[in-house]
Amino acid sequence: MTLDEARLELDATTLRPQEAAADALAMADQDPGLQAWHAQRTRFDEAVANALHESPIVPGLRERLLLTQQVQKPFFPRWFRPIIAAAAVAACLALGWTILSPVSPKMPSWEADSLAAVMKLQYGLATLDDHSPTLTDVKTVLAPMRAPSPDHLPVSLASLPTYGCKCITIGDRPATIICFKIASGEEAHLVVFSNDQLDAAPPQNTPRFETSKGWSLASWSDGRQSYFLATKADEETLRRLFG
Amino acid sequence: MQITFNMFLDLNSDCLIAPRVTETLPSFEQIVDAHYAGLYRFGLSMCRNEATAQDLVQHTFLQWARKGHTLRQAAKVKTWLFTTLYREWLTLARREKKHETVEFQPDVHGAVLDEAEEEPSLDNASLHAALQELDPNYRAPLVLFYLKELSYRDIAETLSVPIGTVMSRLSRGKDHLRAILTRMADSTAKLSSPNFSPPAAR
Repeated sequence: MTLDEARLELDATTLRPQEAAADALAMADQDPGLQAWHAQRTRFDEAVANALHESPIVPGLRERLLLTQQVQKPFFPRWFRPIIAAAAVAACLALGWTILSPVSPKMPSWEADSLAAVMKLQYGLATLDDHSPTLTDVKTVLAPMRAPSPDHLPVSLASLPTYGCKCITIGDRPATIICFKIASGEEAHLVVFSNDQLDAAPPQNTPRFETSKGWSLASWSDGRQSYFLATKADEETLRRLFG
Repeated sequence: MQITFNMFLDLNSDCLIAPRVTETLPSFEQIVDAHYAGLYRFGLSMCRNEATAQDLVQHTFLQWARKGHTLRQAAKVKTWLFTTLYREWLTLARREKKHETVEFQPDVHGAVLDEAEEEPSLDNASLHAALQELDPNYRAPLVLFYLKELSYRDIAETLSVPIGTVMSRLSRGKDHLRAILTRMADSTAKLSSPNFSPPAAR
C-alpha cells in the first residue's frame, strides 16, 4: 500500500475506524506525519459530523411517515396473495371457457352435457379410458363393461380409425364417447347413449346438423340409441361422414 | 498438511456459515424510527429546502411500504432507503436542471490546506451554507459519510459509483469543505474587525 492509498483509506474511515484496512493503520503507526494528518482529519470530521447532527428534524414528520404505511397497507396479507392470483387465473380461464364454449343455453341438457364432455377431451382436460385403433376393438372393450356401444353407424364413420373411448354420464344416463380420426388429423367425437325417456331426443334416422362457435355438430337417433357427433372440422367434412 | 487444513476450514465456512437469504424484516415503525432522521438530514443537505426534504423522505417510505417486502436481507434496509431517496432527489434535480456536474478545481474552489492549518469554526448553519457550495457529486458522499449511517462501501452502493471514486470524492470533498469553511470564517472575521469599512455607497 502506498502513502496515497493509505491516506485515502484512512480518510474514508475516520468516523468508522473499525473498518479501516490493517495495512493503512499500520502505516500510520510507523509514520508520525501520516499519524498527525490522520488525527487532524479525524478531529475535523468529528466536528463536521456533530454539526450535521444538530440539524433539527421537522416536528410531526415521524407521525406523517407512519401514516404512509396505513395508506399503503395491502388489503390482503402477503401469504394470501398467491391464492388470490390463482383464483384470478382460474376466474379468467373459466370466463374464457364460458365465452369460447359452443355450449348454448338453448341446447337440450343431453346435448350440452355431451358437448362439454367432448370439449374436455378435445382440449386435453380429460383422457381416454381406452386406446383402441378400430371401432371393432372399441366395441370389444365396451362389451364387458355394459357401456353404451353403437349398434348401427354410417359406413363412412364406422370405417374410420379410432383413438379410443371414454365412459361418461350425461345427467344420470351412462354414455360412451368414441373418438375417430378423420381427414387431416382432425378428430370427431361420437357420444352414444340410450334415448329411453329422453326429452328432446334427436330425430330418428336423419341427422340434424348445426354449428356452434367453430364446432360442427350432428345428432340423430337409431331405435333406442341416440348419437351425437361433434368435430372442429367444417360442416362439409362432417356431412361426408354420413356418406 | 497446512493446505488440507485451510481447505477444510473454507469448506466449512461455506457450508455452515451460509448467508441467510431470507430474514425477518423489522416493522415499518421500527424502520421509520431508525432511519427517518438520517434520511431527512441527507435530503435536506441535498435539496436545500425543508419541504422538499420532507417530500423526499415521505416518498422514500411510501416506496418502502409498497416494495419493501421484496427485500430479502434486513441488513440492506438502510442502503435501500438511502438509495431510494438519492434516486428521487436525482430525478427532482434533473427535472429542475439544478444538478450540474462540476469537477473540483483547487484553483477555483479552494486550495487543499496544509495539515498544520487551524481548524475552521463550525456550526450547523455555516456547515449547511458550506455544503451548498459543494458540487452534488461531492456533497452526496460527504453528507452520507458525516451522517455516519453508511460505510464508504455502502455509500458507493447507494450512489452507484465505484468504491475508489467514493474514496477519492470523500478526500477531495473534505478538502473543499474545509477550504470553504475557512474562507467563510475569514470573511466573518473581516466583517467583525474594527478596521473593516464597507464600500462607500454611490
